[in-house]
Amino acid sequence: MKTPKEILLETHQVMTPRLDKLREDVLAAELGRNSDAVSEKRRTIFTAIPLKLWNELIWPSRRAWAGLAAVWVALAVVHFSQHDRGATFQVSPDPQILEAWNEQQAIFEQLANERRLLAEKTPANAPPITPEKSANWATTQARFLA
Amino acid sequence: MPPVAEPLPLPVAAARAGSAAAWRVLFQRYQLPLYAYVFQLVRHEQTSLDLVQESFIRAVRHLGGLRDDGKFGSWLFGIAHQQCIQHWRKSGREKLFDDDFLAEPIDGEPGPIEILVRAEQAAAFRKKLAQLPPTQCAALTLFFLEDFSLEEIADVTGAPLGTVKSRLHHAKRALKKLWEEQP
Repeated sequence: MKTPKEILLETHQVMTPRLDKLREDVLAAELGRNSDAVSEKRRTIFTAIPLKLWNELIWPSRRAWAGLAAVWVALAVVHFSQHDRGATFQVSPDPQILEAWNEQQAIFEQLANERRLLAEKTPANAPPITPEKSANWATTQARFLA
Repeated sequence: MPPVAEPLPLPVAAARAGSAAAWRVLFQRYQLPLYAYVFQLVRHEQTSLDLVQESFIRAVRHLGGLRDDGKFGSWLFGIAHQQCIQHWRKSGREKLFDDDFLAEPIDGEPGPIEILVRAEQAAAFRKKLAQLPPTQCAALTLFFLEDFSLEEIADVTGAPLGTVKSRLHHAKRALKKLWEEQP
């Protein structure tokens, strides 16, 4: 004696090999397709954003961008050429400027010596110089206190 | 009394994560009952295979939409049922699957049906089952194959619970009558 389920399944048992093949075909196609889709999506993220930027931001105003780039290049050239000139000045200074610099140094040293000598000649117990009070100070103070 | 082994839980979560091994387990479990169900509805071998294949493809693609992993079986049968409906619609036979009787309200659960068939009567049983109207045949086949509850049969067929109850009741009564009438 068999149950209805056993009869129904037994009837179609011969289909099992075909169902096995069908199942494997579906899994190979669908799960393979899914992994392909994931890698495709990843690839798209890395390529789509730069491409979109290029198409929507750069390419429509390509002349303006090219002009701006040329200006930046010119600025960079000027900057680096001046930078090179400054480096040359530091390496070999002009002899006249060097001579003037030495003269200034000598004058400063001379002034410093004179000041030191003056300080040595001044007596140590000399009263400090204080500013005189205003002649009206006492009058103003008395009026305020009253 | 020996302990009854609990059936292993189906690896639905692993399948959702893209495990081919998990999908293999799921499809191996359901492929034959699913084919049997589809064949009961379309009665054509190659068409049934095509519909099962399409159901598998849709299951792989849409498993993310299944909220309750415990309902994987009824969900898969529901996909196959929809495939059958679409097949019938394409071939202009959709009306055959319309309700073939006015759903009479049934009080309580449809009674149990306990049919045990002798080996030599198997062909007769299949013939009697095929004589039922398609909606009743579908409900009864789901009940026989997977022991689905009324709610699960309603999920699979997309019919209201009362309608499913009525279909199953009439199907059981009709099958019993056919069975008792057999020579």
